[in-house]
Amino acid sequence: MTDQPLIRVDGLRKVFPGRHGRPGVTAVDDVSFTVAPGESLAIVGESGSGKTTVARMITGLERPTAGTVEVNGRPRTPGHAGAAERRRRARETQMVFQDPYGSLDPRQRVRDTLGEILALHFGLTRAQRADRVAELLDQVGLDTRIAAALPRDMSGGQRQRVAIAKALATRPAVLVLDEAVAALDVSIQAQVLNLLADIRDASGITYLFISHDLAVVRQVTDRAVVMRDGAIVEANTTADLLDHPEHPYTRLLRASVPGPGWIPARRKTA
Amino acid sequence: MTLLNVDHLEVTLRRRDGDRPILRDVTFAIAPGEAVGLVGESGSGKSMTARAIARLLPPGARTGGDIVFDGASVPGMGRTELRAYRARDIALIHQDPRAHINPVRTIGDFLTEALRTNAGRTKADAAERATALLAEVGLTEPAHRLRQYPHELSGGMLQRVMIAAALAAEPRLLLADEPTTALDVTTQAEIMAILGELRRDRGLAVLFITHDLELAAATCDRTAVMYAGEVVEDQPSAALHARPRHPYTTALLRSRPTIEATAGRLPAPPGAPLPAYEAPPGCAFAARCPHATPDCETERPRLEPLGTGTVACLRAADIQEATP
Repeated sequence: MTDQPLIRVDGLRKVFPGRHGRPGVTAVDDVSFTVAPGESLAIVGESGSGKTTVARMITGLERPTAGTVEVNGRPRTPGHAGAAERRRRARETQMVFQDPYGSLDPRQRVRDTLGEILALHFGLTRAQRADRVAELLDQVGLDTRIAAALPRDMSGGQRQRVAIAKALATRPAVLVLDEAVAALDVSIQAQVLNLLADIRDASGITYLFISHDLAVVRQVTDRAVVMRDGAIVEANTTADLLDHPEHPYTRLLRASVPGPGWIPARRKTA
Repeated sequence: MTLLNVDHLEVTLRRRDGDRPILRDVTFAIAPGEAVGLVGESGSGKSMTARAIARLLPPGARTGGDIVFDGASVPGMGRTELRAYRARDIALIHQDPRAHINPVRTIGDFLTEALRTNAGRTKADAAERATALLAEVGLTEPAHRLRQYPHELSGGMLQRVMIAAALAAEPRLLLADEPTTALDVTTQAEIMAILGELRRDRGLAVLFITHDLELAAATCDRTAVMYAGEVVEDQPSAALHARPRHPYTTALLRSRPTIEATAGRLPAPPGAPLPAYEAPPGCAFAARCPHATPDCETERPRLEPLGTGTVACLRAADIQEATP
C-alpha cells in the first residue's frame, strides 16, 4: 500500500437537466472521498440518494457537472476519450450490476463473452484465451463446463458469477459493485459474499461497494459513507459507523433493520 | 379455532412437456388476528401458495389436499361463493404496486370501484370512505390524493394506497406477497408499522410472504419455512429464531450476514435451492444438508410435531440432542 489514494473524488456534482422547462435535478451535490489501494469502501444510501450516480461518474458512464475524479493519480478529464484511453480506463475500473441479465448477451456463450474482452485487451492466442477463461471461471468458483452455457441455461447465482468474471477479465484495479448481491437468494448471496472476500484476499483488488443493505456492507467493507439526497451525511470505518452512528439519518437507517425484538416505528406520514 | 387451514396442499401445473409439481406438501394454519410469515427462497412456492389460497392459479392447475377458510373448502367453492370470498373475506397486496394499478385511472377511481360495486355505496359515500382509508394508512392530504394518478406517487405511497384498497372491504385475511421487498428500508419499517397497527386495531389475520427470515421473525407471530414446494418447519417466530429445528432454517439464519459483527466467512450451504419439480424422492434439502444420512435420500420426511412447532426432517430429534 502507498499513501497515494487509488481513487480521489473531489467536489463531485451532477445535475440532470429538466425537460420541458422543468427545473433540473441535483442528483449528487459536492461529494468528496478517497479510496486507498486494496481498500473496500461502501457507499450506503436509499433510492434517490445519488449513490449509483457517483459510481457511474467514477466508471465514466456519466459525466460530472462539476468536480473531479482521479484514478491512480490521473484525472478523468471529461470529454471524448479515444479507443486506447477507454481501454486503459477499462483496465482501471470495472462495474458489476444488480441484474446480470443486463450485462450478458443472451445469445453469447460464456467462453465468447469472456474471450471477446481478453482479445480486445490482451490479444493472446486462442489457446491462451481458453486458458485464461478457465482461470477466470475457477476464480469465481464456476466449473469450466459452464463455458459452453448461455445466460438462460444458468441460475441467477451462476450468472452473477459470470458477470464478476467478466469484470475481472481486464484485471482492473477497482471493482465497482452496484447492489451486486441484492437480487440473490440468501444462501447464494452468502456464497457470493465469500467469493468477493476470497478475490480480494488473493488479488488485493479495491472495492467500491454500492448498497442499501447494512448487514452486507458490514461483511465486505472497511469504510463506509452514507449518502442522502445527493450528499454525504456521515463517513467512518464501517464498524464504527454501524456501532456508533452519529447522524440522525444513519441512526434511522440502522433502526430500520429488522431483527429480534424489532419494533418498526411509524416515523411520519407521507 | 382457525381462520384458514392449509392441509397437505399440492399444486401441479400441466405443461406441454408433462406435469410439473409446484407445491408438494404445504401445511399450516392461521388463527383470526394472527400474523404468519411464509419464508423461502425463489422457487420455493410461497407466492403460489398465496395464489392457491385466493384460488388464482394458472389455468389447468390441479390441486390436491385442501384449503379451508372459516369452515368452507376453497377448492370446492361455487362461483357465487368464490366471488363473495374474494370480495369480502380475503385481500391481496403485492411486491410491485405499480403492476397492479391502472396507470390511467386516478387513485380515487381505483379505491372507490370495489366500494361501489361490492359494498353498494354511493359515489359520495365511497369517496368519503376512501379518504378515511388513506388517512388511516398515513397519507397526507388524502382528499387530494384521490385526484392524483399512480405516476405522481412514490413506491412507498403507492403501497399504502394498495393497503388502503385491500382494507376497503374489511377482509378477515390479508395475503401480503413481499409487500416491502421493492421499498427502501426506512419505508419498509413504516409499512410494517402500519400493517402491525391495522392488525391490532382490526383483528386482521395476515399471511406475510417474504424471503427475509429476520423480517418475518420480527413481525409475525409464527413463521413457516418453505423449501422446494414444501413447508419444512413451522414454529412461533421467537422459537424459530432462537432454536431452528430444520437444518435448512439453520442454514438460512446462519448464511445471512448480521449488522452487529463481521463474520470471517459466512457458513453458506453448498449448491443452490431446488424447484419443486426437481425434488428427489427423499428429502429435498439432503444434498445440501450437513446432517444428511443415506436414509434422507430415500425416505421423504413429513411434518411432525416437535417442541413448540412442527418440522419435516428425519434427523430433527437427533440434531436436537446433539446441539444443547
